[in-house]
Amino acid sequence: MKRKLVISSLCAVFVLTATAYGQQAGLVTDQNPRYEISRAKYMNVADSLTSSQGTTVQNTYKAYDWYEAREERRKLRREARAANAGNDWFYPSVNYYPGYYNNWGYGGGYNSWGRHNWRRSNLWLGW
Amino acid sequence: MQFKKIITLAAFAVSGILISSCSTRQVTRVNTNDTIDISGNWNNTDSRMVAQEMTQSILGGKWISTHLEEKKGKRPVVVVGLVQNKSHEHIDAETFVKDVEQVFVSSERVRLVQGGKKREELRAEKADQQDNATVLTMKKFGLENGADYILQGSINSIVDSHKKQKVVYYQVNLELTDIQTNEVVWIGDKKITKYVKN
Repeated sequence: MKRKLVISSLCAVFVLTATAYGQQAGLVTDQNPRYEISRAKYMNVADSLTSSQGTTVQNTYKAYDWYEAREERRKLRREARAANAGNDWFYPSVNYYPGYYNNWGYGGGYNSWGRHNWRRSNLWLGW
Repeated sequence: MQFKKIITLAAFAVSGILISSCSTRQVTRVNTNDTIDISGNWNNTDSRMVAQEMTQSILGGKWISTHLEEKKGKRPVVVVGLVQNKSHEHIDAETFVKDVEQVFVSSERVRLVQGGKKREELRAEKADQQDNATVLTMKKFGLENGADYILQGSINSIVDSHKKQKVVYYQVNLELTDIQTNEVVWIGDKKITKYVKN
């Protein structure tokens, strides 16, 4: 029994040594012996990573433009006036959560009725 | 009777105005090298300027001679990778990257291989040929040219505006990287600044 155990241990050591030697033999000069880890990782995702080659990824941002912001403010003001024309005296458009979406924590863009205060708000920045 | 005449004349006048108002648009073909700035946004002139700068710079770079020396005269093989547009406008880099590719092919100093969707289409065509083409004309898998370098790039911008004035700065970068070593062998850039007054 003891003899069998020794033989199987020796066999295992031999197989491991042979495998390691074989891997070393397959390496080119100065190649990292652990390259297989990275290879296995990227072999699975290569298709998805290379499918957009030759294209432009659009990661654009919105730049603040004083002139365009003013034009946009005016346009929104006109639209709001047109939408509220006629019925806002009787049914004021109450905003129950003034400043809820305002990052600064207070409802700078809204008055107590929840109506938009165009002088204090900045629609370009979203409040 | 008089009233009918007035109505008829008015109808003619209105239809005349409508017809004339419909035909105010004018379209004129212009030279693609002409510089026409309308909105101040990125346009064909900017793309052309970038293409000119990049093509001159990339073919005049030292990387080609270094490669030819190291690889005993074998021409470098390039694949075009991603270009990231991180500016504030929608810009498609293909308009100037294609010019660079065209120069690679026409100069015969650099070999170009397909990447991305086009490469997938080529492989799909090869797969189709395995079943449908004659044995003599069927193209085999595993014989593609592996690229030595990948061309990648980025577009950035800075906008400074106040009241009716605006200064827009664009910086377009292309870079060529050795796929084996990750070494960047060439970087080209083109900077464009525009002053826009509304």
